[in-house]
Amino acid sequence: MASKLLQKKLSEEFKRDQVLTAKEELACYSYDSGIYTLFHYFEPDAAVLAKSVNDVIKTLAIARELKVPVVPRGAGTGQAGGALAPTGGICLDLSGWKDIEQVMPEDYQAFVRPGVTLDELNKAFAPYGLYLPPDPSSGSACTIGGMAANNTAGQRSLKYGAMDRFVMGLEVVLPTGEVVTLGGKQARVIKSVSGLDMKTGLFVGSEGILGVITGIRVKMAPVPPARAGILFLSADKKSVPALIREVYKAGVVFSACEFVLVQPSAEGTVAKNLSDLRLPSPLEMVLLMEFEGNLPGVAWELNRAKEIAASFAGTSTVAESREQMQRLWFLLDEAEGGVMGSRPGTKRTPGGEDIVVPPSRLIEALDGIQQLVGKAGVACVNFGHAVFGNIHTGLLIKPDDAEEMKKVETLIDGIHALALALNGSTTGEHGTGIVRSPLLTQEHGQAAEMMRRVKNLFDPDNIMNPGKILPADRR
Amino acid sequence: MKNLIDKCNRCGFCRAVCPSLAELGWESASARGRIFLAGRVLSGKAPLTAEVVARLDQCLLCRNCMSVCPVGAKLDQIIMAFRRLEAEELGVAKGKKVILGALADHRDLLSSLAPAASMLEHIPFKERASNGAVFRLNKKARVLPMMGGKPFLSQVQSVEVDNPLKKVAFFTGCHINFVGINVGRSVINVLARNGCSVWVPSAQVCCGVPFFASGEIDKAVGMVRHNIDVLSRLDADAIVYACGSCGTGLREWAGHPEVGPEYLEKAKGLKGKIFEIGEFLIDQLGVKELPALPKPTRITYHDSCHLAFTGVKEQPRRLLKMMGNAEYVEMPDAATCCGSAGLFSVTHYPLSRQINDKKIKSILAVRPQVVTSGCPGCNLHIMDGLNKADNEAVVSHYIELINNAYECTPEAGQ
Repeated sequence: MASKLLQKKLSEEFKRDQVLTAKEELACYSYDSGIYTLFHYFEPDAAVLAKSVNDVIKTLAIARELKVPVVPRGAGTGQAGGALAPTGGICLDLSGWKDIEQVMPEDYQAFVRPGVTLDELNKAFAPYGLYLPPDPSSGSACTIGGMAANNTAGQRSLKYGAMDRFVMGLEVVLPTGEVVTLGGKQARVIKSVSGLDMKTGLFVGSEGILGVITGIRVKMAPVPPARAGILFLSADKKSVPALIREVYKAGVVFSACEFVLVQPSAEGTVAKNLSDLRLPSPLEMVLLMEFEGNLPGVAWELNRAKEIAASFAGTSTVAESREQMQRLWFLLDEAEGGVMGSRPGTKRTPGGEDIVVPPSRLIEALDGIQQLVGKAGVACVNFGHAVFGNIHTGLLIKPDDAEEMKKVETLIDGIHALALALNGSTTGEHGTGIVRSPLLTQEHGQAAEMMRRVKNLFDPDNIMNPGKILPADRR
Repeated sequence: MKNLIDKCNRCGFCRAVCPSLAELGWESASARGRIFLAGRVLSGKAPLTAEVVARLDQCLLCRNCMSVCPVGAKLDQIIMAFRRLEAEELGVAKGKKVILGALADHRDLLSSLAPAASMLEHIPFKERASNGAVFRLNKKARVLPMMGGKPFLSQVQSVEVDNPLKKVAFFTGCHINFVGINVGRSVINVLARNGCSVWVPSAQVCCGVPFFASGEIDKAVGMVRHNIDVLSRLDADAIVYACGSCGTGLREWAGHPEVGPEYLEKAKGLKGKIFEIGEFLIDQLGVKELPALPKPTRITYHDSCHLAFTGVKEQPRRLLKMMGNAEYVEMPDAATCCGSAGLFSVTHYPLSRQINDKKIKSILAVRPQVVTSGCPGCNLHIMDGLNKADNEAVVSHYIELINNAYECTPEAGQ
């Protein structure tokens, strides 16, 4: 009944093609790209396609009146369930709000609406030689609003930082209906410490639990002219953290430092995919080190890394240009594909997929994951951002096997527990969402309570994306 | 089918390229939304209703999503399986049914009526200088193709040249056969001018693509098999086509599971022999020069989705740039869909127009005198859009333009 009333009120306020209430439409807001929706099916009671601040204000007013949840959603590329509606309510689809309102190349800035995708923004700035560096590898689809709300980082974030380094200002609509500009109400600067930093300290990475991000002022960076790198095939994974340390200490700042773990059961399939390369024996890990910047600097970094890598057990393949780098990235993908071949007939699904451990404990964590995965009787591919100790785990599972899926749920809990036991974190860049909210207190202790108080301050009625970050059990 | 659906990881990469999602904006209009809905119906979690059908019918089958899918999900096969179910349970939409009937069951009747139709059509329709025809009483109504008189298959049988470099069979497809006769003539002419003997196998039938797309799989399978039989009997060095969608029919659909292993095996004999006309001229004949157009002409090229999907992108552009007097300009977003998608533009005309409006904007941005593509269907839809925008740019298949250049140049020895 409540949902009928909600649908009626929304239909009165919005144009017909802006409110979706049909079952078929709502079903398509029941998923994101994570594992959660393989276990659960949640449908919002309505979806609103917002394309203006006023649309957002109207939606929040109705939500406030009826006390129903509002779930902001970008392109739904997340893996943590942040854009799902576990308790119904309104899914606020912002992906169609695509205005790049201000292009300010001379001030290295843009002001965009939340539905603009990363590729669209970069395309608009390409003529000026500028781009937005955080790259979650889904640039064609992911939205700037989603990137800000999740504090996206990606493979090049060691050198450039995550979204919090690039969001210079935000326009947000609070659940109370107030519209607030953060980062200075008229500011067009790329540096400021004035006031409390509510934009990146609070709203960036808040996953929609405090309010709706309706405008983002982002800093753009010059496109680096040169790129080079090394694909290092390690015969001894345990030595890889030391290799990374030595390269880093030598003054090389990686633009990316990615690994793929090759567990013994996957060595054959990976070797097959990399058969063009000189392979070490055994092949235990594939490491891609990438350097970006000006030409002489990159050449120096490449050389230095090459020299250091030569003293480690393994083989190197070098790329000296952007074009050649494409091949190395392709080969890294091929290595990942090879590991996936270790359990044919399964579906690769992210699960416990974003833990971070202290960089020195990377191998310990990987061994731990392999053990847990073995115990659950499944397989996985482990890859990620080596220099951070950020591990992405793709589980190779059979979603139709109910028994197996039970074990998979336990396995995911196990991976998260492992991260905390190793002084790590449950998520490096994908977000807490619905998937990791039950672990919030375990990870943060007293600070979790502070987070709850902050949420209550902004959202006393708890209508903004409830159940995300903060567990749903109590307010 | 379940395996095909389960493959989708819902990563959302497909969102970036879907022409209908770009217009409609809601998630059910994305490829992953369609796969999700089809999956729910095919697994019995949701009933097959007109409501679900309406959502899945918003797919143009342009396959752009398949080009960017990281796991290689086959949306086209899922949609086709779904539309078959839809056709069986709920029937085929009326407009589609009439056209499909004409191309399959009543093909002979259509062929014999075509000459009369080509005379009578001048009463209600006026031919435009820049191609196509408009309704005399409403010049902003949809631009339609003019019938070409006798179908191409019954007009032209073969052109022989002395000491041919290659013996080429031409697969016309329905559009060229019934309404794109000048495209057909151009293909033959340009091939002959480049030292090839050409003939048009008269037993060929529709490539089957519109039938696959409408869920009439049995008929489509029959057509694919028939064409494999016809084409594999030929003593040809190459089989050339000039329509992107027919190309997918010829090149890929022998792989449809229902075509069967016997025909798949037979089709293997055709592998490496089937080429799009531009692809054939560049990659097989190594054409390096073409005659000049009679006067300086500003030309642009639109990528037909199906042609680009089969990898033919650069060859038409290279050919166009080769002609003297041709000033080639690349339009922005040349590879985005024009919204035609064959019968989609019949059943979903308003949405197909909306998609086309963007294409027209891209075209007008480069102010061409001639808009070309490698697809007669795209061309017709672009003509319609230009007519609505009061623009007189000529729209033609790029091979027609190349043929124009030849026709303005005397043959060697003449």
